[in-house]
Amino acid sequence: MFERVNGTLSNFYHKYLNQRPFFDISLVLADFIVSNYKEIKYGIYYKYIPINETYRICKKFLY
Amino acid sequence: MTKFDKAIDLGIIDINISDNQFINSSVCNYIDNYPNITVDIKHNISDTLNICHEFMHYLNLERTLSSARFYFSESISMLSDEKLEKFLDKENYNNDEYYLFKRNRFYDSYNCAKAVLITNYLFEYYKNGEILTDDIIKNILIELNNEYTNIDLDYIELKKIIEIIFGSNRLNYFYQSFGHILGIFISNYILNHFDSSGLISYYNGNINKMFYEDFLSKISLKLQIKNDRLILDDLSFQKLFDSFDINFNAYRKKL
Repeated sequence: MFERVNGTLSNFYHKYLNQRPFFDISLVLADFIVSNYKEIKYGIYYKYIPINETYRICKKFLY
Repeated sequence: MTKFDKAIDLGIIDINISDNQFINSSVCNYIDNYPNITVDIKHNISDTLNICHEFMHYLNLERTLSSARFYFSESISMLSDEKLEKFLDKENYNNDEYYLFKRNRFYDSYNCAKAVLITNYLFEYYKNGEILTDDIIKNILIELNNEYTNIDLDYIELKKIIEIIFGSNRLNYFYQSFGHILGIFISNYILNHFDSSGLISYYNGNINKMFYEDFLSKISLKLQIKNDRLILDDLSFQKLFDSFDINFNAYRKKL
């Protein structure tokens, strides 16, 4: 794991340096969330929705 | 026929059946020179969100992306998520499912915020010439838990998040968390302050011709130079914080 991670760190760090405002702004916003909110658990959906019904909702919404 | 109907007719939307509730690998990109949307279908209300979200990316997908498209495509797609949330509420969609839908959107944001903070700590070590070791992971864990009393992070979870972001050379996992965080704040802010339908239409036609500075200026957010970095000014950040609070106040620590 460490070999893989150390292998990509350099590549990703250069991307980070080249697009600083994108990363710096996100960092301040992320700090706001974790400083002010608590984590919640993922809620599992129980209602089965067939794909045709999903398309119907999407079409109605996107129209 | 709407653009959505055409996309389905042309087979642009690929449907994959997924049993995994927790990993979403839905994506909109070019495959073999053709635009493509791949969506993990889980046969629940999250399918609607994922299809509409990726479809919004498809509407402003081009081969060469502008800086505005790179920075804010997620904001436009998330603005559609916000509107979908309101649409479901207006349609009196099953109340419990609607509540879960909103709750899980907050869950996603919190997870992405953690990933962004972890990435930043890793880069701080990297910048100082340190390579990642088990001891560094343990140090990062101590530092994060000291700095953020709400974070509730353990060693196993921290290692897993690092592995997901940096374990493969896939940049999309790296960009995903940062894009999500920027997107959720900007979309909430636009929803509260602007004609969001008009903005969505405008940006779907123009976002690839814009610089990110133009986009920020259009929505009255200002950049400043602080500690040699280009970043939003305090008032702009406050606007973003306030809009996020309005949408997710139910998950405040003090409640």
